Amino acid sequence: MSTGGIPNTGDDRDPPVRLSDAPALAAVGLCKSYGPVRALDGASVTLRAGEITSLVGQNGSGKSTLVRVITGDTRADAGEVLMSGRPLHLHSTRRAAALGISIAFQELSLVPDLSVAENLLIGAEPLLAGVVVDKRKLKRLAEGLLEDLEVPARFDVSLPVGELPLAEQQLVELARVLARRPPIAVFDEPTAALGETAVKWLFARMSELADSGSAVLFISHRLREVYEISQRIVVLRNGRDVLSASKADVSESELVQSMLGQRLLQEFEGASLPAVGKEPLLELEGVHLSRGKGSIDLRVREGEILGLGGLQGQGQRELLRGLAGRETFAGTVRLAGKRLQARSPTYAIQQGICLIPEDRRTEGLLSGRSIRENLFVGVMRRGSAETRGRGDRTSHRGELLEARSLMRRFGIRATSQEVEVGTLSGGNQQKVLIARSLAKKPKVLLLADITRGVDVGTKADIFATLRELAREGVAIVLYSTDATELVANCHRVAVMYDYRIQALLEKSDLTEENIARAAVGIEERPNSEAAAR
Amino acid sequence: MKRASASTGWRKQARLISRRPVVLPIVLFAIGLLVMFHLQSRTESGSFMITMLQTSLPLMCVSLGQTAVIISGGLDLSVAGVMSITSALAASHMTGNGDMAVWLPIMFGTGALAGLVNGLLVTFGGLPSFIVTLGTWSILDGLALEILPTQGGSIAPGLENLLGSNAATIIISIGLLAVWAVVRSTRFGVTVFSLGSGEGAARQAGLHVNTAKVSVYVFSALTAVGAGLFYSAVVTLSGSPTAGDPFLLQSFAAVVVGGTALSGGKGGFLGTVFGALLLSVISQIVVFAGFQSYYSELAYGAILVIMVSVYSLPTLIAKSRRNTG
Amino acid sequence: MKSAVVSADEEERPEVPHVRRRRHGDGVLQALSLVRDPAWRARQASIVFAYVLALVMFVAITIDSPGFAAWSHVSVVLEQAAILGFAAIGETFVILGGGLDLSVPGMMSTAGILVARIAPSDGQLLKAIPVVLAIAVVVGCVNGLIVAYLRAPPLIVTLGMNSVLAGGLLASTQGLAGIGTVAHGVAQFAVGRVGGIPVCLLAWVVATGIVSWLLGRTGFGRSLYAVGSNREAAALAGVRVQRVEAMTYVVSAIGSAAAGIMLAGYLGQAYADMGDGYLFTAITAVLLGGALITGGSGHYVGTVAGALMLLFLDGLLAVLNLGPAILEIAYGCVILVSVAGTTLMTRRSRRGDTQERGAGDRSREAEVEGSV
Repeated sequence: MSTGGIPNTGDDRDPPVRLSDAPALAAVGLCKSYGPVRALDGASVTLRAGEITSLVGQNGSGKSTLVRVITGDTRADAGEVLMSGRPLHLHSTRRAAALGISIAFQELSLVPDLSVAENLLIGAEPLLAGVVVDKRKLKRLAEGLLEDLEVPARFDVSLPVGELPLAEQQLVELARVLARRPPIAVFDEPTAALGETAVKWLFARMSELADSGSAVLFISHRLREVYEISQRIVVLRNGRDVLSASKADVSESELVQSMLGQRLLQEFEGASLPAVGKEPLLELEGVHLSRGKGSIDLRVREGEILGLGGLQGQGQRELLRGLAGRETFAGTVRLAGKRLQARSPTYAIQQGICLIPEDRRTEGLLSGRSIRENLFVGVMRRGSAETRGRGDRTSHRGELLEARSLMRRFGIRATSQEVEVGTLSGGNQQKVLIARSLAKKPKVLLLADITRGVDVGTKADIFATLRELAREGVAIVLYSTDATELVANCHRVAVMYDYRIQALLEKSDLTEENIARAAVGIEERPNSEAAAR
Repeated sequence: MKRASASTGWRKQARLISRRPVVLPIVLFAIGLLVMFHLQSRTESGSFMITMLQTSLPLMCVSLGQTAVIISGGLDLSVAGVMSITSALAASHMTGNGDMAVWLPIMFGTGALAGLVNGLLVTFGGLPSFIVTLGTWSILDGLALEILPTQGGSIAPGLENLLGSNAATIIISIGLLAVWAVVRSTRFGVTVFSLGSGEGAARQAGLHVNTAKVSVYVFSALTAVGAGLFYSAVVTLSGSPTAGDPFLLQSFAAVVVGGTALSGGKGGFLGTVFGALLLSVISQIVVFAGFQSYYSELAYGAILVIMVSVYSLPTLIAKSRRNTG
Repeated sequence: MKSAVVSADEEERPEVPHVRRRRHGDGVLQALSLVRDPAWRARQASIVFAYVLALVMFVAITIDSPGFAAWSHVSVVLEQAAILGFAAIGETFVILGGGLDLSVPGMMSTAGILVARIAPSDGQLLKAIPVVLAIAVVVGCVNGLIVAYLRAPPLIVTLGMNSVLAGGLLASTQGLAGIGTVAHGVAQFAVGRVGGIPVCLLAWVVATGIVSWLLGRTGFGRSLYAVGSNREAAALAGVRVQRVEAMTYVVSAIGSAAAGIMLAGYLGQAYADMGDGYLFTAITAVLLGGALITGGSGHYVGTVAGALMLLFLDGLLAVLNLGPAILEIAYGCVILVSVAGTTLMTRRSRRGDTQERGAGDRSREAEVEGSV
């Protein structure tokens, strides 16, 4: 049975373990805030020896922060991490690793220029005279390791690992962790690049690892796999564990619903959606977001609020960024009947397509600058009535007045427009970004999951604003990971799965349940404009 | 069909260059040698080659440290200052053979101290390496100027006797490569590589990331001291308070031409060696082609700009191809 | 419901009184209303601090050596400050955009030599100035294109360009001493007086006004701060990031050229490495003015204070009889202290900016290390 202070390497194979009282690792009531944003809000996860626990949750649910706290990468503001009942002081990843907590990263932590062998045995290299690495022994150990683990691929361990195809790199990363037989093993999205055989192999090794007494944490978006491999499932949403049950006790669609959100909010009820115009404003024909992925056909009418749903990473981001001109995809896009080839956001905005980005911190805000400067950065739509004399620039006086008016209209709470935008709350920051986009007078507004980390009152304001815009004829594409929001605020919802539209739900079919089912790939509904007719 | 194979051929070559970056500098150096022999046949003599190797030694030595810093993801501008202060100290205080016992340790100690300051500010202060080393460069240059206001002085002849022979040149060259090979195959070397491309695994594995980050700047400074010593004692036979300044650009040029990526995590000293040799060859070609030696600086600068652009092209092409399916 | 943008007439009366006055009056008063805003004032703190420091240094010197404050002396110091000020214009733009320009000295020397060679007397000035300007634009464009479009590290590219310029100069002057005379007009540009005030100082004041207008009142200025602050966000908002970034290098080259001409006029001669002292000082002036080395924060008005501080430092050291060596040491220390200082202050006010990444753990902290 594992105890604290465990050596990192070694071949001790403990006999199959009975589940004892104190869990191998318990994170209790973790809270962590980054400035005004609460990433973790009292999250608790328990890992038991001999058990594989899956952690499921959208990005922004706090999943990545939780993993960082457990592995010592960051420290929680409140709550504690206990190993076999003893509280830990994880002040660095080195300490966590020394205590036996090992992680295979989602974004591989391999060093591309070092060989496979060097990566496999990093930190545990055999040394000559205690200084220089014994290259021959290293090679032998590495090859032996791969053989013992029965890794389903042959490679030359002397090659730089960066030269291997991604799938094989992933195998090296996994082998690195598996070889150490850590008491606590974390696998973060390990199957992303793996083929079927490799996945089978990984699950076999994970089960072995668990059987030998380790506690395994498996993080994945692929619910099929979650059901296949784990004994317990924990769902994280909004920084808190909202569901923690053994696999047998929760169905797939229940799982998805708890991930996507299931709340009844009064402020959504009673507000009716404005009528939709006849003409399609934005048309997508034969759009392929990625090589080999399915084709997308979509029509968004004037004044329509089209929702984009589904689990994260199914192509929503690529679709919106492609429309906004920041990325490219194949296919035809038409704006008001005219073919549009947006090679840059500058061009897209000038044509009238505006994107409010997903991550306001890295993609939206200029944190060191004032609210006013954040409101008026970049170009506007060409030909909009408010474009003044010198290009897109208004007079200084006009700008000060306009900033004040925008702040009032959107309820941006701050002492003045010169305040640094980085000090505002998440909701206010989001409002600044919305105001910025609206100041560009778009004809089509794209919103990428903007209600994440935003308080309830602000969400209501945002949706009220969207309704207003729709009444004025703006076409809106609203991507959200919250199914309830989509149901309450959209005319139609296109649920995406695997880089294509899995289902296109009309108002009559628009329920959280249907969104959840489509989100995991269940085919029942029409999934394109043509089929809907 | 034909077009497809032609384009894959080009692409394969590009991939070869980006995967084995050592190929390009070796090829360029070979071409440079041929041009040089063509222009001036007497250069094919062994003694000429050895002399050329000897003149390149300071650059190779200082570039050894620069290579390590760049692989770790940083840049060290203060090597110029370290070389200058070494030269100044040597020419003003280490004039007799007896002084060596005292002043050699002092010089290396000074270098180590400078490197330590750089390393600490970058690692624990979180300050960008280019601005920290810009500051220390200025401080060191000022100190050098204070110690030796004008060019001149002489350096302990014993040093020149020891290091100036042909045999010594060859031994030192091999020695530099050996140092790299050893460093590369220690845990320190492994950590340095991981610094430049995500410290995750290294931290996880229990490697001392912060220590390595600081040490790499100390290492760079020490190689700069060695380079400054050799330059002043053997090549110029005198000291100068600005001895190191031309070496800054040249050390970057040698590393960049040698294929070590400026983004960090990739590369090696072997390429840098050929980069340094290429620069020497080019300065010889400049002279033999009838231009004055002044054109060398122009040539070095042009090479740096061109090679940096060439190496930036692949990422540009990759980015513009994203997602078109 | 009202549309997002409301024209000025429909808006309610702002708090600033006398708004009924004519347009340019309004501009000034609106600027005043900015000044009344405490949040705005707080953000100018570092610039104010820089001026206070400069003043303190000035007073310190005059206490020790009252002759320093005499106009005959101060005016000369201001001439030198003007030259540095021009060299630092470009560096300000480049650093604001998140880059660095090490080709300033080479460009200055090139401009000085060219103007002395092409225009040994006033008659040829009309030919010389456009030539120098054209070369500056070419140099700036090359730097800008490689850095902005090829995304190569600015430090390396501009360092190489500096060698190209300096090497080219060396080669063309054959290492000779230089050119001993400059046209009268050029000299007047630097040391001439109008009513006792140096011409170059007036030029500097005008330049400061233009630069401030560019930074504060134009789309270019707004975009520049955006690019330096968050390149991706700027791009998504529609800023032409590459164009803006490239432009900063062109501005830098032009500013350096002007500084080089002025320097030649001040010295009365031109030689191949006349610009060499200006590398450290131009960058230091920008940093002393409160700009962040990583970009997105700072102003030329601060750089002006930084330039003054450096000249006063020079004077202080001269008064204390410390040589040029100590000056270099001082520059280095100033660079380190000011960078450490501004970084510390920004870090404290931006707590919580690290690690909160929603979109797929795609990013690490923007490390400037590898991106230079």
